[in-house]
Amino acid sequence: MSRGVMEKQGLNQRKLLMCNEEKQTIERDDDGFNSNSMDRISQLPESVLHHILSFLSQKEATQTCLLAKSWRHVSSTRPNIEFLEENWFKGNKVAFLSVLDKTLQRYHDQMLRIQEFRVKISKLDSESISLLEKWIPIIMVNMGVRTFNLDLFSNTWELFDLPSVVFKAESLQKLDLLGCKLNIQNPLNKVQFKHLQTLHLTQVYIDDETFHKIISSCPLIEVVSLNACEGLRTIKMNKGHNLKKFDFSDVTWDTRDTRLDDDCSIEIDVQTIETIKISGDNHWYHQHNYLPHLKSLNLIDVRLASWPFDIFSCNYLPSLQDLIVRNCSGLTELQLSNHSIKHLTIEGLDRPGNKASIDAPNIVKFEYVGNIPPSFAFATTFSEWKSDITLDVNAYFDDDDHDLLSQFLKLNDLLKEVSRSEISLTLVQHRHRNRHIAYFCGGLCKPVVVEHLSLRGFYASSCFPDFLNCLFRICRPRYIDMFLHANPLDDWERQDMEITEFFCKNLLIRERERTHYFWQRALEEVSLESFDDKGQEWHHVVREGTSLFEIAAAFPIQPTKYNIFRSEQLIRIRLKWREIKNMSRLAPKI
Amino acid sequence: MVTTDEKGPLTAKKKSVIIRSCDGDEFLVSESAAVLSTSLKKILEEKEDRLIHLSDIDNKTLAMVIAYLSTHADDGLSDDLKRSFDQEFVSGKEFDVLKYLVLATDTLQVTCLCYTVAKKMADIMKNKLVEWVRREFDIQNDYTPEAEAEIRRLDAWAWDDRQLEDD
Repeated sequence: MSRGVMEKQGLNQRKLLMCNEEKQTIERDDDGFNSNSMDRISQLPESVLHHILSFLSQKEATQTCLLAKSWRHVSSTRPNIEFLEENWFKGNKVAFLSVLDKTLQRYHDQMLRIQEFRVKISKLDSESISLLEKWIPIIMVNMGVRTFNLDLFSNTWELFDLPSVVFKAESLQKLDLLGCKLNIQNPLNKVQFKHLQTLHLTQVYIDDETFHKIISSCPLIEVVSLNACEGLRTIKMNKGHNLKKFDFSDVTWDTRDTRLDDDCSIEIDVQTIETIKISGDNHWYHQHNYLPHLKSLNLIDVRLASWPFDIFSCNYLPSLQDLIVRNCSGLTELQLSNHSIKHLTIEGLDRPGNKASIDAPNIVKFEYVGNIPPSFAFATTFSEWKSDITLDVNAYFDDDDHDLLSQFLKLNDLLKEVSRSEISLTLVQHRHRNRHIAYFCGGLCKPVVVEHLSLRGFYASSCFPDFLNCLFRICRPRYIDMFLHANPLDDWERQDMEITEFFCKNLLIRERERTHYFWQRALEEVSLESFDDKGQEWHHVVREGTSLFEIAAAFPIQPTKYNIFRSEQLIRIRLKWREIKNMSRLAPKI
Repeated sequence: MVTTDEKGPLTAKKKSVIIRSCDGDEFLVSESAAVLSTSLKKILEEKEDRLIHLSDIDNKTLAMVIAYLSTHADDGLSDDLKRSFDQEFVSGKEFDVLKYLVLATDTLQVTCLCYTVAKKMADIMKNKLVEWVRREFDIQNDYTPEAEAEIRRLDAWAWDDRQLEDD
C-alpha cells in the first residue's frame, strides 16, 4: 500500500480551503444508507444488491427472495438470467424449459432489463429450439442485453440457426456462442453491434461474409476468439479497428472428426493488436506489417509458407515480449533481432539445415523443444536468463549407423550458445533401444555447465552407461533431477524408477567394477537432496562433504526404501565435478 | 480522456485534490488517482475546485478507497502487482467493512473496486442456506410461515435438491 501518496491534512490547511467547502458534495439520490438501520445488508441500494447477486447462480439468487419481503423484489428483478441445464433439474428437460420460459415471460411482462443472459442447453430438441426462437429476438432487441451467452454443445454438426434478428442487438457488448450457426442470410441485412467489444465463437458455423460484416460494423471490438469454428476461409483484419486480442484455434476436443478440413488464411494488420494466438493448420500472413503494440504472439502448428526470416524483428514488432513458435511448417530459418523479447519458445525447426540466429538481449527465458536442434547462434545478452531445452533423443538410438557422435557435438554446440544462461536440459527417450555406442573421448569439445539435467523415459539398458559417457563429455550437470514413484503405474513411471536406481547405484554407491567410466572418477562430491515434507526447500538427505562410501552406507538404496516417499517425488543428486585439465588422464582403462 | 502521457507525468503528479470525509478529516490525493473515480473525475472536469466533500463516506472507508486509487494510479507497479493488491485488499475484511466499501465505490463510481468488493460479498453468501444468511446479517424474517411456504412452492425448482450446507 503506497502510503506516501495519501496524506492527511492538518487544521491549517482546512482553514485555507473553507471557502470552497460547500460547493462540492456528492450525495446519494436514494436515501440509501443509515447506520442505525436494522440489519447489515438489506438497506444497500438495489443497484448494489443486484451487483452482488450477479455473482450468484440463478438458484442461489432466487433463494434470496426468502430472506425477507424486501428481498423478494430485489431477487426477482436481478438483471441476470443464468440457466445451465446440467446444474439442476437432473435431466428433467421439460421442467427446465418450463422454468426458463416462465422466468423470461415474467421479465417481459414486468418490462425488466436483462443485462446478462446465459443459457446452456445440452441436447437440442424441437421444444428447446422453439423456445429459443421465441425468446432470442425479444431478448436481443427489447431487453437491453449486454452479455449474451448461448451454449448449445452437441455431438453432431446439426447446429442451431441463430435468427438473424440478433444482428439488431445494439446494446450488446459481449457475444459468446457455442454450437450455433451465425449467418447474416440476406446481404442487405445490417449488423448493428455498435457496442460489441468481445466476440467468442466456439464450434460455430460462420462464413466469411457474415464474419467480415460483423467485424466491419463493430467499431469498439477488442477481443475476437474463434475456436473450432467452421466455414471461415479468409480472415482479414485491417486498419481502423480497436482490436486488442485475436485468438484462432482449429483444435477440437470432442468426439467428432478430430480435425476440420478447411484451412483458413489469416492476416491481421491492426495497429492496436496486443495478443495474437493461432493454432491449427492455417496460414498466417504477415507481410512486414507494423504492429507496434503486439506483446504476445503464439503460433502453434501454423503454416508459414514463404516467410521472410526477419519477420519477428523489432522493426515490425517493437513491443513483442512473448513469442511462441511451435511446429510451424515452412519455417526453416529464423532471424530474430528484437530487444523487447523476454520469453521465447521454439519447438521444431529440427530438420537438417535449419538455422536460428537470435539477438534478444533482454531475454529472460528461452525454451527449445525438438529432436535435433538447429544450428543456433545467440548474441550477447544483458540480463540473467534461463534456458530450458528438451530433446527427443529417440533417433540417437535408432540404429548403429546413426551418427551418434555428431548429434552429441550438435547438442554441445547448442549448449555452448546458451551457456551464459542457467540451463535445464531434459532428454526424452520413448522406445526401448539398445545399440553399441562407441567410446567418445570428446576431443576438443568443452563440457558446458548445466544446472539441471533430467532424463525421462530412458531404459537402463546396457548401452545407457555408454550414453552417459558421451553426455558427460559435453555437459556437466550440477543437479540430476530424478523421480520416485511409490507405486509405478505405467512404463513411463517404471523407467523413472529404473533411471533413479541406476544413478543412485552408480553415483552414490560406486560399484568398483564400473570405475572405467570416466565420470565416476571425475566427480569430487556427490550428495542426494530431497524436498522436505513441510516446505519447498531442498535439503540434504545426508550430510554434506561425506565421501561416496559414507553416502552409500548412510543411504542404502533398496527397492523398499522408495516407500518412504510419496507416490511421486522429485529428488536430485548434487554433483561437484573435479576441475579437469587433462582429459586424457581420464581415458578408460581397458 | 486526457492521459498522463500527453500532459507529462510530472504535471499530473503535482496536481492534487483534497477530499473530505463525513467525519471532517481531509485527505490529499493526487489528481491521477482521483480521476480513477468517475464521479470525482466529473467534478474535477466541471470545476477547478480542489476540495471535495463526501457527505456519506466515513474516514476509515475513504482511507481504504484512497489507498486503492493511489495504488492503481501508480505507473511504476505492474498489472500483476495491482491484481494481487486487489486480492489482498478484500481478503479478511469484515462484511460490514465491505458493505461501507461497496457503497463508497458505488457513489464514487470506482468500477473495478466495486466489482472486486461485490464479488467478495457474494462469495460470503455463496453455498449458504437462507437461514444462515439471515442469522449472519441480522435479517429480520418478516414472512408468515404460510407466505414462506407459498414462495417455496412457486419457485420449487430452486429448492428441490438441497446441497447447500449450513455452517
